[in-house]
Amino acid sequence: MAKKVRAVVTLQLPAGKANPAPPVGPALGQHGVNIMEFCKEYNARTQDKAGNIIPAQLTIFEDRSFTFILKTPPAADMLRKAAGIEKGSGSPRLTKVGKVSEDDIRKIAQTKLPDLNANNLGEAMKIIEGTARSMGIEVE
Amino acid sequence: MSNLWFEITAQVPPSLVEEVSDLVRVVAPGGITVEEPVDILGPEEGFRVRGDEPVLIRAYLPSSELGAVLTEDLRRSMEPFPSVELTARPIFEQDWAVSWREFFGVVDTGGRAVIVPSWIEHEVGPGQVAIRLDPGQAFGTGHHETTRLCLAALDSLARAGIAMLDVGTGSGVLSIAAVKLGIPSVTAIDIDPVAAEIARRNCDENGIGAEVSISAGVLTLDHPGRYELALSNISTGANIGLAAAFGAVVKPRGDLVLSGILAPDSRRVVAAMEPHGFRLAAMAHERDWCLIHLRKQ
Repeated sequence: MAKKVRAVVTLQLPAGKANPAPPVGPALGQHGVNIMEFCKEYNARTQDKAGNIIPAQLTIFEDRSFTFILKTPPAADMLRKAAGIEKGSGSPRLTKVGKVSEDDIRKIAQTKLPDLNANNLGEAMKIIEGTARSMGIEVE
Repeated sequence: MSNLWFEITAQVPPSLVEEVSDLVRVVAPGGITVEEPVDILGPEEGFRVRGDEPVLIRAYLPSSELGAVLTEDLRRSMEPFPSVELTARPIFEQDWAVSWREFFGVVDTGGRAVIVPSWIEHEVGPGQVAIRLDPGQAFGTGHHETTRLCLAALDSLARAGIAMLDVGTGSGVLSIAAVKLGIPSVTAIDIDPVAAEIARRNCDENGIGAEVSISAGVLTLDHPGRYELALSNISTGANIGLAAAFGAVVKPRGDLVLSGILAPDSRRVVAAMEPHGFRLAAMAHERDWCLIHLRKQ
């Protein structure tokens, strides 16, 4: 079919827990997306990833049909889990709130590689290290 | 009275999206939305992200004491990021599980096929057939010019005793219409396995599962079937790419109906089909879109 895109929206949701409440309802309702169909499909495809934030990038077409792809969890979410902290630092230069190892950075970079603008693992690790620094997480 | 929510929008430079979205998620554990600015490209070409422009990160907080505290927490957590612009607007709670349906109604193409969503009670007129179809994960809700043009063409070409090929079936809407308009045997194909699965479900829900054979894949020269009618609602480039395959599968004196074509591309499409034995029979237009009906010599 002649699929011309109307809009692109990314939802970052807890795996397996999509429901019509915000943010899903207002974000997709305004585009006329069948919300229950999205929620059912998202929950089915992410049920084995419970406890993680799994972004879904929706492409909504002119006739308001849609498709979506799942992305890797946000790097910040993985870094917080690896450092065992609740949130990043409010002033990352002055206050350090946690530490991760280079091995943690490598694992996160490996997972994130498909979604990063990086040509290889080394470049991906540099991006993840940058995110860690800006959250006040030290890399050992 | 409806409950009120606050939609909080952070306008964020691309380099800060990861950090800022993490801070926004802290106050909105149910999730957030991230909207990158995109250029919408042509049919089948998708979109392109404008990577150097601000990204919008949205969270929804209840209009309550807790919501006020969370909003204040969020404002404070944004202080290290002076380039981030934070705005808020109230929105009324709706029954979001069903409110999206307001965009959809009965699609009456003026011919015999009428598309009726499952939540609408609608009695079709004498001689009309109802296609029960809910919008969802596959293109072909009936709310697009290209689908409507195909339905109108089917109205005049469908008849008993022929076999039809539906290329790029999407939701299966055209296959369902074809069977309900009298074509006894339809083969449907789509490159997207999700679409093929949804088309199967929609055919079953319309009680025509046995008449339509659906598969996921690309139409190739060695496709085994031969058809009196082939209908392909895909795009200019994809239709041109399949010209030889159409030549192989459409029987002599059979009809080929091509849609998903922007009007300025029509001559190019006709020229690509002619070497494979097709001649232009008719053309139809709706807004920017064009349907080309060709006949095999």
